[in-house]
Amino acid sequence: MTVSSTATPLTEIEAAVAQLRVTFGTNKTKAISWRKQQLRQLYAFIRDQYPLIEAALKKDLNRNPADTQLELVILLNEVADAIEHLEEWMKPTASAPTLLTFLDTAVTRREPLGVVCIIAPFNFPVQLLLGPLIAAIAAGNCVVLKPSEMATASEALLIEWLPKILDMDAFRIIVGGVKETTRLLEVKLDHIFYTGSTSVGKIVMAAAAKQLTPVVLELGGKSPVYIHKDVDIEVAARRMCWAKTMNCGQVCIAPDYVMVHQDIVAPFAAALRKVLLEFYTEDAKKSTEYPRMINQAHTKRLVNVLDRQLALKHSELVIGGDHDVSDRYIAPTVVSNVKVSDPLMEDEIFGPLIGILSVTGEDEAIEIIQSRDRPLALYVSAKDTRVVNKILDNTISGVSVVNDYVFNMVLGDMPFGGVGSSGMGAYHGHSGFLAFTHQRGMVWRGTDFLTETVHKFMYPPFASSPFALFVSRVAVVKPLPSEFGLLLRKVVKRVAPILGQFALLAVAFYVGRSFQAGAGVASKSTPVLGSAFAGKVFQIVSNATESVLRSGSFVGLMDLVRGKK
Amino acid sequence: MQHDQAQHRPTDLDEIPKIVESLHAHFNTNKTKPIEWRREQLNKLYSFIIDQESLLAEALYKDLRKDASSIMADIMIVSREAAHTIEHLEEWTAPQASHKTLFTMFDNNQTLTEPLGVVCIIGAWNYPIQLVLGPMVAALAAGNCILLKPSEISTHCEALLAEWVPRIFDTDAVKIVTGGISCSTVLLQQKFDHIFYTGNGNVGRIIMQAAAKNLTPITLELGGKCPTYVDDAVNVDVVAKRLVWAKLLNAGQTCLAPDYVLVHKAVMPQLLAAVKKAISELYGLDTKNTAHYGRIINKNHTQRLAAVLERQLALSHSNVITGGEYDIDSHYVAPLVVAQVRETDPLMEDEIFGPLLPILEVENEDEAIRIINKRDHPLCLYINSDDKAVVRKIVGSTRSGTVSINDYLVNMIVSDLPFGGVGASGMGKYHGKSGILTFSNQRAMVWRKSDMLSEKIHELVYPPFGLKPLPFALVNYFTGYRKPSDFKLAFNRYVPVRFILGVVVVGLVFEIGRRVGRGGPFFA
Repeated sequence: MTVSSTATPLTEIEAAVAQLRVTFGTNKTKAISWRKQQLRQLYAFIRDQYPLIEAALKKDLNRNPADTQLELVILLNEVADAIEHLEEWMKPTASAPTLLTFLDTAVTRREPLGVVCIIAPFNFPVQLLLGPLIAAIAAGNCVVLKPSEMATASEALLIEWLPKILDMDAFRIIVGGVKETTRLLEVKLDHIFYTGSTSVGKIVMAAAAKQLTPVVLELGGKSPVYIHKDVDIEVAARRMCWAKTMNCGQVCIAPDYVMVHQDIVAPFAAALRKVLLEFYTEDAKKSTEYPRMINQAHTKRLVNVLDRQLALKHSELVIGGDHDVSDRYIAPTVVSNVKVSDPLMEDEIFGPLIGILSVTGEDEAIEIIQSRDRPLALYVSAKDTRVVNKILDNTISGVSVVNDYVFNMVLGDMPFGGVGSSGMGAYHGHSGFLAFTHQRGMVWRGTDFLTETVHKFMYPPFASSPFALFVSRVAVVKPLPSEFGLLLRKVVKRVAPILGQFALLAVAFYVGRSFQAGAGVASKSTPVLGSAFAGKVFQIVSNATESVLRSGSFVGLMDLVRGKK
Repeated sequence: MQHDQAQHRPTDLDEIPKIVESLHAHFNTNKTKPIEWRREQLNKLYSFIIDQESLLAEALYKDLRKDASSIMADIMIVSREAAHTIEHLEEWTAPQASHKTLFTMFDNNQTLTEPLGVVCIIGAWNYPIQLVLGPMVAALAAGNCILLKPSEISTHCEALLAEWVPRIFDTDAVKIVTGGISCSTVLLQQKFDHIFYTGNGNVGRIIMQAAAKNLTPITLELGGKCPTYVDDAVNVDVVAKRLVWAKLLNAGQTCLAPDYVLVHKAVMPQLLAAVKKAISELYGLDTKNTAHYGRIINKNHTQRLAAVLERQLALSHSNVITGGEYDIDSHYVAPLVVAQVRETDPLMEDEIFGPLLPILEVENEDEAIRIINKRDHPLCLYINSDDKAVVRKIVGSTRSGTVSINDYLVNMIVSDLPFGGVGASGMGKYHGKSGILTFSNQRAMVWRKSDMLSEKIHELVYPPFGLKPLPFALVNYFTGYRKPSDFKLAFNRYVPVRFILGVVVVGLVFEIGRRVGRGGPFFA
């Protein structure tokens, strides 16, 4: 495939956004039918053009078919999820009435933000552009898309295909690099969704500050791993190698540095070596399934870090270390005995290098994690649940996965996003919809006599009179809920649906009774089959109900039935 | 009005980094995470407001000459918010279980709502107590350590908070700093986990830029010109009364105050007469000597308002309905109503934030929509109309933080309604659950097993793949691959499956029980 994409002229960027504003003004994108249609189109594109996408990713990153598949299935699921829940997500939610507002309609509306911009990185050029796009479409926005210029084949594919499938009145693709992106950030947008590095994230946020544009930043950071001494070493090693070599380590939630309990450092390193040989043989360069770095610059960056690390006397190379910059190849590499201040511990690695730190236990691991920036993902492998809970309770991270890696991506209903320097805001599923939605509170009051009478208590000078003050105090001040009240509330919440079921059965019981009587009379005078049959059915139901009503302890049983512990 | 100097001293600038550091250290002890601690702090906040109402009222009167009813509106809303939050705290912070797929069916997958860490709340002077304690309710409920920075302009309330905050709250977790711009500047250089700012757009931009350096998430509660549309299908007297009430509350210094009014030309004369009447009804003819008419916060702001007023009245087309007087020394500005204002007039430039009410005539709701959409998105949009179609049309074609129909400010009382701007009027929301989410980190947790069975399933995705077939369908299946199906959608929506199942199963079980035990002692 030849790359024929030419950069969007800088002068056209503002016009593109202006045109989207016009489209947004027509309210076309707000209709649920439009959103669903666009989502269906996107779904069909991913499903039908699967081989094309796979080929593009192979070209850009030598992505193996399994990773592409996982990525695209996640994407498809996300579209399906959005279509399935869209109506539920869009529905305005009513607020609890108060004494002053019980006559009114008070709801929270879910409205689109307007013209939003999605900037995607190179490491998952398709997923990280289309994933946020799904959320943006679901929320009803017009979207400016900026695919990564580094993943050239994927960029070309998206430029070619998106206009074919989407309603291009509401979407625009900006092609280009830093210059074009800078110009885009100068234009007034209603939301910016950026996925990429921490340093650029800061630039994006500073640019957004000038226009007061809200941002979602999906950044990376060094995601720590702690391996406790009680783990199944081979399983832990295999999962780590899988996650670390996926996409050649160019995953924002890839495990970055590994803190291993001092008792098992040697066996764990040996296991890593064994698994890597199993996965990619002696020479990973020849393995067709071993991915590549995105470009030579990134390869050089990694080679530089690796050289600096290996120059330190204390570092022990367990496996790997080969590289070929012209082929964008870095062998899966494990370096043991890394220290906290080493080159491998400076920036996010974003490549297939594993640095092993030996720690005395979970306390030291917590200390190291706390002393660094907050990671996007935190990984703990341990059998002892107390160790896991201790680490989770004492650290902060965007996501945390225990005994495995990156699995939160499979679960489409989990919010995905960083905290602190690993980003702000989250998406996937409902949280993605909310990220692109403005939650607009609406109060609709009447002007009738009754409402106006209530309102009198707020008008001066009457409002300041002792009587009015007393009344509005009663209306506004809520008594402090007691512990008993809170408990009662919890119980009622549990029991209410069960009572509902009983009410229904009770109604069936009495209807059945009357039918039974009615059917008996009817069959004597005019034989009506239907009513006799209905009477029989109701009789059975009513008998059952009677049993229920007579029995004592049904709550526990209901809980069983409803699958609650 | 004389501003007697408050007794407290501003915080030493060198102290600020140490204070922030101590808060970070305290957060790491996890003491703020237990729900009991949060509830205890919220209880204290609630009791403080209820018990010290007279003190709060005094400070508010000294700063803004607020009358008893606006004090009520100002601080009692916070107590309400606290009580509401205590009531729902457990429910709002409970972990959310994720749906299961075949790949993850043995796992424990939850989304945890965890505190962010150390958050900074910067208050504003127009509601000096509410805009500090209100966000604080949410921040405490989410389990954060908090640094409060009340406005230095409302001196009495600042002094009051500086005195009482250490007395009521856990002093390790809640700190307060006081001071002016230099204090805020130093504050913004510190590393926080969230900054919550209420104020104006210019400072909002500065804060966001400062926050960008540390990648600190922010909530900006800004103002803007809130438009009001008055349709021809209205009860003019009611509309005028509510408009005057909302506009003159706190002498117009409310971020939610109606800023300019777009009136349908058919009701213009009636409305102007009704507004004039409403002002005299609510505040009397001599507002300067009316006890419950507020004052402007300080001389600067009074001068600013006087300047806008003079520039507007200098235009020959301005039609003054009432007002125009002011007294800079006593911070007094009379309620001013100007009709026939044009879109480009001085009163239509910036947020007015004072008791000046420009009235513009429009042809119909379409022109109103055009004018509203031409300007920045407002914090709140007000529509007065008894015609539902008109209301829906305006709501559907505009954007605003909140929208209130036929009344003003009432959205503050409804606890569950998210409050916050959009576009130039701010970003981020609070009040009720949305406040907790603002101050929380939604942390996804996936807890997998490493037993044989899980590992066997996991092997599907391990390289090398050349050795094992990788059927698309299989992986699809394991990852819970779904197709969007309209039938399923409709079914899920209209059929309460679990409920019906519950009814059927309970019925059946007891029917069996009845048959088995018929005549037995239990059912006798």
